[in-house]
Amino acid sequence: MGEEIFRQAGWEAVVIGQLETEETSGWHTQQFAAMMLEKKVDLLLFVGGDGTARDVLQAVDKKVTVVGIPSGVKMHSAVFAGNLQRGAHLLRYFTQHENMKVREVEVADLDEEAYRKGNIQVRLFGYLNVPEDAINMRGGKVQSRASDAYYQQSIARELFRRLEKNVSYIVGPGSTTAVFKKQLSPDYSLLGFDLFKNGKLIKSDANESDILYFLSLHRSRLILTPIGGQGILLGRGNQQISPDVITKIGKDNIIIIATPQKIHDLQSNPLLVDTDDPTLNKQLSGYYRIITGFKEEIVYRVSD
Amino acid sequence: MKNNIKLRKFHQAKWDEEVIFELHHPGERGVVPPEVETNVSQETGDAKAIIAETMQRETPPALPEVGQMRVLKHYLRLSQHTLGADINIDIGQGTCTMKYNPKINEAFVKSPKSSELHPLQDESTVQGALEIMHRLDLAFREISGMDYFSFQPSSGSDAIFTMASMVHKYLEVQGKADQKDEIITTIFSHPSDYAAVSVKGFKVIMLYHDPETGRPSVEALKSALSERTAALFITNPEDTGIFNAEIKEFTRLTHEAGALCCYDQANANGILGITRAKEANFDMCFFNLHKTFASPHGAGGPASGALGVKSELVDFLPVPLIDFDGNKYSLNYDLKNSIGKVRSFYGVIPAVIRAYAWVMSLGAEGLEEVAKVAVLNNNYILEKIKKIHGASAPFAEGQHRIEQVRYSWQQLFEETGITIEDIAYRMADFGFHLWSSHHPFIVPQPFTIEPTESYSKQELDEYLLALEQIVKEARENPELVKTSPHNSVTHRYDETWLDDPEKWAISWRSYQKKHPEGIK
Repeated sequence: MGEEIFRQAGWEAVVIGQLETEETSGWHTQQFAAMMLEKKVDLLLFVGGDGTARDVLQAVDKKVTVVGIPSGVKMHSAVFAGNLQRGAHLLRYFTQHENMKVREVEVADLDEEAYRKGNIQVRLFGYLNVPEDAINMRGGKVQSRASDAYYQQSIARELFRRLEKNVSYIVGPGSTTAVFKKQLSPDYSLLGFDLFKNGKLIKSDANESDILYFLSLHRSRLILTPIGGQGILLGRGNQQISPDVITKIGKDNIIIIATPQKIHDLQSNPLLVDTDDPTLNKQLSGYYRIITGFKEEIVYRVSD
Repeated sequence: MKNNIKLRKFHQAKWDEEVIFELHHPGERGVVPPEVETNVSQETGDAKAIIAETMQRETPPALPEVGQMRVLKHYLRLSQHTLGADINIDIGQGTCTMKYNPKINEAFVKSPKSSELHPLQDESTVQGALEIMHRLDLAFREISGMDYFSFQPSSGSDAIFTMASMVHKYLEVQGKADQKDEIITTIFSHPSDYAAVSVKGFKVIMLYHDPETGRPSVEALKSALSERTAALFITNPEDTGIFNAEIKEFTRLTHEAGALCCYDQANANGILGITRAKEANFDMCFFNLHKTFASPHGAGGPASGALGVKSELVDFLPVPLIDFDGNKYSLNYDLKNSIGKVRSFYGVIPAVIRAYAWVMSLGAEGLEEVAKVAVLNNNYILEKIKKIHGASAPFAEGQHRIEQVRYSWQQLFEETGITIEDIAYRMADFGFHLWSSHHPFIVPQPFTIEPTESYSKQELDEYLLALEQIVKEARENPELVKTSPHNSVTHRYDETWLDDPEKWAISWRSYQKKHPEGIK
């Protein structure tokens, strides 16, 4: 699996395992990734799409820094270098710099079940660590740059500053929302919507009917963070937040949070709402004040 | 002419010079002060007794003891390690307005008439210095349309902080300080507009640009304005060199929300004599004398942020003001709502003197010509850089820019793997300085060029030639660029140190503490 290719390219390759069949599957990816983890590799480079990213996630979690070279059919995850060349430059960059910082990015994939029913929904499966500056390799001075992790803490602090009495909160998935949720309850869900009232977790990983019932009882606000590299805010991934739910919550009660780098990584493209209801998508479009840190906001466009 | 322009065969001096503390030899002296004469010591008594006991140190400061000639050599050698504004074609540090600082102005500053002044002198004995400040104030009133200028803030960020303090005080007087706690700025305004108002305790809301225009829309502003808005702090043109033509609508809406409009004109080099803060309905503004007004940056100061306000806000300025009764200049500390002091004494007088000399030497027509030439130079460079394969000028396609442009090497990077850092290092091999722009990092692989009015077309062409050469090398011999600089004072260093509190050291004492073994 790759030995020949490396040899032809003039690289020395250490073979860590042997394939017994011609056919490979996700199981093989998981096995090899786990073996590399055992060998304590510095960087795990994989070629594939969302499916492969999920296999890698299952095998190594956040125990090793990874970068995906995009070659799959579906690439909703944020672990991929922009293209093959960028991946190559990144590899070179990684080998030349010690102690590169890492950041967590999403592993997302199409929801197969929903897809078979004709709905395009992207589900969040977890997080992998990539080199901090890997995906866009923006360049610029690296010194003293506050990390994503710092801003996630800073955003959580701002949310605590704003918490209102007699208002309940529906907090969506994502590593940025998770930093906030974790401080409210250890039983939060990383990938789901959690319901909080007076700072207490009422229900984790709630489904649509849970949320509708919750909304019938409490005045609520919805805290969201964009998912994946394309800045999807609503729709696709979060089927629990149906058009019905959004209408009941109301546009004014939507709070968007994101680290500044996540916003900058969108390259000035708007955040996206893509629910099943085109009229609602239109209504939700416009400028939002996004919380990007403690006492910090960015005004950014949301589009359908 | 063009045919004569070539890349020079540059090689910088490399002295491998020690840090001054390493030159320490106990007993060596640079200057031996004369013995105190008997009649002086009789007059003063025990000098030590004059200093309060709590102020007396028990051990002398650990200063290096070095002979005078060695000190001179040390600093001359270090000076040969730099690529400062007086030696390179310093157009690669956009937003900083690295222009020519006329040397004749140093003569005024070095003259004992100014250098021997003491800040505690009686005002009747410093009438000349006060007159210069007053007359520069009058010039700035013309340049901006504001009604009064203070030279108290000693940098651009200090001026922003002073403006934020005045906004706060103004709201306090109105009884609205608790309600109005948000300041709106833009993501491409200078980041000090965000930083300094945060330090003052305001919440900051940054308007993002629309990708097509490169500047924030009126709609974006509207969604940020509320009864909580205290002020708008904005740069125009922004750090992209794009001018916000809707600025009057911005100030109108901001005023409508009961907030003040504060104009960051740290860099006003492209609009002198063209647009003014007053006509755009700003309530206050400031100019960096060390940028537009030809005082040197001095490697981080001393500098000056000349702060102007409309008459209804004069009362809030830091003290002292300089009053003139037609006959005599005096210092006025009696302001009802003054925010107090923002620095000791009267501001950075040398910067004021240089700016005054510069303004007076040019006159109104001259200042306008500065702006026009700066804009012309910038748009010449813009057209040339757009033709360099791999470089681009994001946003506002097909439009002219004012005094600078934030460019991107993203395409070159994707094709060759060469980054802005690589190019910046390689530029040093040709004797040029290029930097990667300040945060936030929105434009990928960014660089910002600001040619000002100072440089000739030949010099601009020489700089462009170096950029073109490096782009050629990036394709033909990327290793040459990756391993640069080759002709500079140093090769590459490990930049991660600058990000690591365990390793960085900004003083000799801290260096010794963190690196007791020294470093190789």
